[in-house]
Amino acid sequence: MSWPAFLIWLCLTLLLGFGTNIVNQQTNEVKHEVAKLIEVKELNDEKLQILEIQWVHLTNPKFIRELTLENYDLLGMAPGTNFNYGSIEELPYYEESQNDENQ
Amino acid sequence: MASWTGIRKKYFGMDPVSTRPIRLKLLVFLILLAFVAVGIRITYFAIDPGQNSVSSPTNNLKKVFNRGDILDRNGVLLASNLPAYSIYAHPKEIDKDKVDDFLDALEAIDPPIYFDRDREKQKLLSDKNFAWIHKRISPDQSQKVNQITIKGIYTGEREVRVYPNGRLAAHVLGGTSFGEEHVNKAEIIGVAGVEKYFNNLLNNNDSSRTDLELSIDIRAQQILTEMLCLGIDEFNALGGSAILMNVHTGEIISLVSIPDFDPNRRDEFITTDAKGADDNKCINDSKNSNDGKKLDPLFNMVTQGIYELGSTFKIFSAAMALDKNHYQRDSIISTRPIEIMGKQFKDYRNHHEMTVMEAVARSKNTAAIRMALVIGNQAQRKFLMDLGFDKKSDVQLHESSSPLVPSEKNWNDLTLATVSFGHGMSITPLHLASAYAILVNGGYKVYPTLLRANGIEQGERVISPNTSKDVVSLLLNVVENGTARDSRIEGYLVGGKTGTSEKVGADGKYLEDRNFVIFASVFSGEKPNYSLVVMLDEASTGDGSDYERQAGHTVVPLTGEIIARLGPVLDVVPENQSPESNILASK
Repeated sequence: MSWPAFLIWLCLTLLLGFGTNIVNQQTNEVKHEVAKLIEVKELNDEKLQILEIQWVHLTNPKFIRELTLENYDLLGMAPGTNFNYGSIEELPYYEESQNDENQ
Repeated sequence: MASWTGIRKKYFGMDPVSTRPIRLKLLVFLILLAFVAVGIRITYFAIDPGQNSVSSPTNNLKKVFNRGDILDRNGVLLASNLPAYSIYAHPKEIDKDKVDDFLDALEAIDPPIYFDRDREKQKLLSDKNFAWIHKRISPDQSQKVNQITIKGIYTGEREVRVYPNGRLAAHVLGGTSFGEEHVNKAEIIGVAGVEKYFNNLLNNNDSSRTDLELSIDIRAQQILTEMLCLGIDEFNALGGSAILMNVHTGEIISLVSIPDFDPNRRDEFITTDAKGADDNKCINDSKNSNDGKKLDPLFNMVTQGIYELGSTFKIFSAAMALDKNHYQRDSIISTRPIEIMGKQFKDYRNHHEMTVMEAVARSKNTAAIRMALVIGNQAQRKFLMDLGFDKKSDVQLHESSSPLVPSEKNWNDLTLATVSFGHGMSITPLHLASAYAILVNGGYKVYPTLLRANGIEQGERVISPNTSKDVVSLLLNVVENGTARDSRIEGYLVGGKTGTSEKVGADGKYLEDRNFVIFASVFSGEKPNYSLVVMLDEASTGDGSDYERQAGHTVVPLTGEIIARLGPVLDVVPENQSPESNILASK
């Protein structure tokens, strides 16, 4: 083997080794990042679950009903019944909107 | 200064010129070796990129929340999981002089951790290797426990089941308990309700988590619970139950039994004197049942309670007679007293002839007997068995009872007569709701289910579509002109049949002054989509006279109010409106 060939071989080997080492390091970094992200996701999933449960608890129909009863004087809200059904024509501005559409 | 060539020649006896080819070959070999090593390493990376065991997100999610959620038909969360902690001790390691200080510190934690101080002290003073102190504390409380510096006390992570709607749908959901427990993990197992029935599915460890979608509508559940509570309070009843069912699919939209319990702390309700009922606002503490005990809050009256459901059965006698063409709606039938096997049956008043429609509306026992007589014993028994009274309901609850039905051998004329008006045979309110669903849905069998259905699965035919139509008109007439007039609501056409049944005392005899009142209804219109059975235990409008204890004055107006509130939630459009032009607008 001639010297130039040897040097080329040597350079290639060193370059490949160096490149592999960098790839290896980057892979490890990415793996750690993924592990961290999974950990964060896990925590967020847990938080989300807690928030969802809290939301359901705070908006459960029994709680809402109790709130409307407590604040009836202020809000005048009552549960919907058959009397709350009406015709679409009874909506305010319904006729005007129909006229606009026709025009 | 000595050169490297000179040193080698002097100390190692190597001639640089003569060894040159060998060195070159060695170098080439080493370079090749390096290439091979690098190649192997690259191949290794390519084959196993995740060698540092970074687990997938799915696995991690599964690790945190093992048990599947339970949702209502609109996707509202009914049961889910939360991270929690347990407190455990290694009593052998504990300095016994510090036990009191530890318990003082534990008692001072806010929000408080409830525990039996004497019992836990005894555990900590013992020489045991291990003892549980508390099995369910929040992460916040756990942090505070860890701040108490004492050797031998530890906290461990686990998962707990929570029911964010509290008591709503308690009897459907049931509850859970801990199975196999480790310091850092505890298995959750269902002990009642759908939690128990679907335990394996919810705890499925083989594949991804499975959530359960129920047929229950939590809004309807709230309305039924609230209105039933109001009814119990208004009529000074011991308790009550209600079930709402889709007559085509058999889906149970709502199931309520009061007294109920909080599934978040179900264990507290497992007591012999049912003390858990005490904190239920709608139960009057001063009233006790005939044996002096309060009702058991864990008892599901809809699926476990079997009752003689009285006059609600008369519609079955009419349906049989109409289906076999022995009578028509307008046929004349006698309501004069009748004697069967030496026993005379008669109604309170109006012993004249009337139409079948009128007889059902006025709830005539003698008419029901006459209609059953033309059918015969065996046909009557077969018809009732076809309605599903021969066995436990198929509903997905372990808490369900079989009806009490006289055997085929003992089904004589007297049985025929009593069963025709709802005595001598006991079923659950769930059976009754299913039977009414069959009668009004065109005559097809329905299978009650707590799971959301994807469509209508047509069961076998029990009665003809024409009979079904006639039965609906009979039921509508009961509300329009009969014993259930107080359930009339503007806009909704309600049909139904009232029933009153006397309770049985400890000696096996009927208690004349204590009864159940039932109203089995269907709504709305001539093609009803829902059947609703409401029952009150010992309800009365006043001092408890016969008149004041009638279904027509108690459970009937209550049902009317319930349907008025349920209508908008179930998208039942009032009869005087066309579906296209309707809006739900506050007036």
